[in-house]
Amino acid sequence: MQSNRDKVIKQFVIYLLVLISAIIIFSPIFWMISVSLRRNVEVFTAPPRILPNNLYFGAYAAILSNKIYLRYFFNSYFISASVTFVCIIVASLAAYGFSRYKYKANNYLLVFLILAQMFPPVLLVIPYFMFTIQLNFYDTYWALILTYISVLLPFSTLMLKSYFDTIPRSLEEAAMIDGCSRLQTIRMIVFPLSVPGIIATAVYSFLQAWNEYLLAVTLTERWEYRTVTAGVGFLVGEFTSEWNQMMALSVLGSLPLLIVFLFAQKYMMKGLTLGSVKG
Amino acid sequence: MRIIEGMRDQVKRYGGLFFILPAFILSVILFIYPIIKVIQISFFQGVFIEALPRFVGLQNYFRVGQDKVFLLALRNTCVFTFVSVFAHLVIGLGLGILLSQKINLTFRAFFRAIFVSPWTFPTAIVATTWLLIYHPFGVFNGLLDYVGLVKIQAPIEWLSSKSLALWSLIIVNVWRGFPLYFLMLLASLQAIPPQLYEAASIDGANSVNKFFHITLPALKGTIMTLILLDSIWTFRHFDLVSIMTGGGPGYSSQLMATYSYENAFQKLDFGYASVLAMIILGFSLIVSFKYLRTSRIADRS
Repeated sequence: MQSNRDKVIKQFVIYLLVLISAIIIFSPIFWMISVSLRRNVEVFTAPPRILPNNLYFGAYAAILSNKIYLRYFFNSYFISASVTFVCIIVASLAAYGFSRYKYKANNYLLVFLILAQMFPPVLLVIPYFMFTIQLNFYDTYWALILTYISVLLPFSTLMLKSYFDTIPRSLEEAAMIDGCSRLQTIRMIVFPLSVPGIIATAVYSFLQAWNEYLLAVTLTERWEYRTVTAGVGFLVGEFTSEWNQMMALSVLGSLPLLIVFLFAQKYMMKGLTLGSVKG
Repeated sequence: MRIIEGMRDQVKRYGGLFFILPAFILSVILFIYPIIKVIQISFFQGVFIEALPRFVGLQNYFRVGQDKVFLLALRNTCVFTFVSVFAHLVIGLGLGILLSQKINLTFRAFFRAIFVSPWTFPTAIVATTWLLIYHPFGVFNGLLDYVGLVKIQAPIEWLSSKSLALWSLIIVNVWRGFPLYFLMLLASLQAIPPQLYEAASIDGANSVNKFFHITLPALKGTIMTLILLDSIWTFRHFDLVSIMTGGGPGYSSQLMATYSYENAFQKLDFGYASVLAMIILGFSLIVSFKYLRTSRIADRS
């Protein structure tokens, strides 16, 4: 009896702790959403209103009817998608090469790929800034697309390589014995089997490109080429009085991540174990 | 015939290079060349703003020793990194252990998603949201006023007080960063065979014993990896500080990365900015070699 009661108490304590932690952890996000759904006069009240008096979608309407903000969103989607597309193609080729051909230099190249991720962006931004100005593509899509590719390529290659390593080579050898060429084997065996790994890598590249801030604020200047994250950072300095709009912009700017998070969590978890940590 | 055979062998042996080639070319142009360039810049003064930059040898490197702001930024960065990493580990491990207990599966999946949620937001958006929360008349002070800890007429200046700014930023960084630890440690915790704990119970071990003799050893590899990678990422952190305080007030929340950036893009002193960034790189490389060694040991075992 005693141990049974202890068990119930233990369970209760666990659930209670989980609940309290969840409230603390989620409250900033809750506040962001809550402020985005109220009138601006309701943002600073004493005591704070946890929920808006009545739901107000004006902040969202203001964001979605402003061509500058819409351009930010377009830029972010366009740049992230382009970077992901190029990265996946180049990285899967390289990852396949690393995974299937064994050279003595392979180990060094892998070390290079890991070390490449250790270079601080604040170091890279200095030459990138100069190059983009000298080569005349400062403040264009190219400035961000090219630099994002260089930052994301090592990571995507590593991630895909560790995925290709899990596909048994015997399958390909069997196909080759049956007369398939290397390219046919890739198309008919390796590619279909590696779709989950490719999706995981693509999701990661997209999110990292979407989140990038340092290069985005440094290599672009005109609002036409600003991404959402750079725009948010920029607006904080410009007008901090319209907090409900700022929060609506923030919610909308987090949507791709939330969508991925809700629907592709499986791939995100796979990405974690594949690339970032194991190396 | 022999020549053709030989060629076929060559193709077999070097065919892989064709796959690697595009990535290799891109890396050289977009990565290796810029790095050589920035190393070169660190030996010059007047780069980019003068027609003929002057070669000054190691002079930019020596300036570091006399620069009080550098020493402050280095100190801040060390505090920021140490406290963030430590708190990430403690919170991530604590929540991981909490959710690895025997609880309802739907409940676990739901709260796992909640615990991970801070990690899914772009840093720039996290920074903006917390700016609003930390606002002198914002919700944080408002709630503290409501429970009687603070008078809203004399609000706490979370971000514009010299003694608090760095710590306010650390709180945000802790909130943003612990989910990675939580996810990885939860996965490792769930991989520990429960028989180990049962056997220990039979031998009369209490929870503390079990934690130190079963749980911690099983998580050691994951914890090491997380700490090393997180140190590298935190030491070079830029976004939160840049948006929320700009390193201020004064230089009280200046970090290495933001100080380097300020030198480059406000003072246009690219030489010195490169030196500061090289110091971050030096730290990252030292930790990376440690990381490579531990992951190699982990691979072998």
